Amino acid sequence: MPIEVDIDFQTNASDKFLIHKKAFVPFAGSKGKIQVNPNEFDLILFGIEGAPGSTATITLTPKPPATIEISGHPIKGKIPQGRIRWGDSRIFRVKP
Amino acid sequence: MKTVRVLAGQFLFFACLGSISVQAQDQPTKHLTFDECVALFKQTAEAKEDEKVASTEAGLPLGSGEVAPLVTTDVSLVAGDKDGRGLLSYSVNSQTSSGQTTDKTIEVSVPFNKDENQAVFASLGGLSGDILLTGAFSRHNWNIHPEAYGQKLCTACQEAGVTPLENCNLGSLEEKLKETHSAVESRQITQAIEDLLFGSNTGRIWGVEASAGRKERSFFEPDASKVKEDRIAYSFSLTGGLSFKNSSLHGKLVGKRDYKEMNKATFCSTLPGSVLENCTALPFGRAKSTNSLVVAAEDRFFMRDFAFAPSVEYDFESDIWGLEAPIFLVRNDSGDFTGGVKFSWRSDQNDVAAAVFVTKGLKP
Repeated sequence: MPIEVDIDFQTNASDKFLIHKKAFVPFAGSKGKIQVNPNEFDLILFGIEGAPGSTATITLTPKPPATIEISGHPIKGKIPQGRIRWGDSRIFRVKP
Repeated sequence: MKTVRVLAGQFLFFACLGSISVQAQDQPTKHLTFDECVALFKQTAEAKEDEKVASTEAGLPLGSGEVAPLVTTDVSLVAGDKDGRGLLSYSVNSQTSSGQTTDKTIEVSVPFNKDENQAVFASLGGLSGDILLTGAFSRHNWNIHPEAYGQKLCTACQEAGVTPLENCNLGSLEEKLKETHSAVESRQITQAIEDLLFGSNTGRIWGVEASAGRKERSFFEPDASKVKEDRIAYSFSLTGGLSFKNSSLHGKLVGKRDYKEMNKATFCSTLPGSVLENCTALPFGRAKSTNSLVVAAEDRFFMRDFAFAPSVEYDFESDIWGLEAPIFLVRNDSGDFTGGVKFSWRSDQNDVAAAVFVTKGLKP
């Protein structure tokens, strides 16, 4: 039974993306949702495009009582000076 | 004898239960292997291809679209200034799970000083008018390459000793690399891997715009009678752009009809009971309509301490060239480049103008 995970993607960049499995996750403002299989390793890819110094903070919150195993969370990123994009990925696992 | 059997049975039952319990406690946590790491990124890339075909056929996205809304909106209100004009814009931003971002914007702009003709500074594509209304539609597509990025990232994490491998990401890799490399070298290595995620260009954007401008004009007829008119100027444009590692390139084709006021004439009438005269200066004759086809290109470079956004325009109808070279030196609290010095030149005026400017934060 898949578990719902809320995603909060805060950024002041011009554009953002987050890919999970089969699709770019659509966001209503900063809020998005994904569904993951419990106890399986899963992956998200994400990034922003904007002026140098633009920042991003991504928070994943599984529906209680599930918990998430993920390193470097909440995810924070910043477009370095002299660039207009930043991207990274996270491998994670949700425990029911 | 029966009691002994029961006790023996109970002993065996609890012994087995204890054994199971110990096995559960001792079961090692499963960690991600290198092959699984690579496969995760590969699956993402393959799934993207599947989704493209399916979404074309069904017109609906797959996967996480089951939970998330197919199209979402984001509303923003922006007020700023642009070459002596105040502007107010309302935009709706929609994203789909196929990676397309669509922006629909309506913008109204008015000049700060209505007495002066404040068309966009040195711009050939801009319209004149007291009130300008612009509607714009643009679509942005990301250019993401998960497979090449994942292969390189998983390999680099394993070689650097990021353990367990499920902690592999650019941030953790950079921290691990700092144990054996300088901070600058570590950043260079991770940025090279990050570049694989985006490929040669980060994304593509295209759009269409339509503008209309109303301006009330007064002029003298040959018999010195004063007449008013307010014909609407309008323009249509196509835009396209590509973004790269540290710059973006935009092109624009504009077709427009605008109105150029005639040279001014002065009419003076004697004030009753005085030697003084009351004089009024107005254009002599109705404003002349001008049609233009303008092509423009702009490159926006973001350097470490400044930004530079040179642009070139050419008007095919009047054979006029225009160049603008804004250098952004000032940033706001968010770090956006918002002001600096702008140099501009038009071939019909044949002199270089310089101005200090403040504007909205420069975006790629």
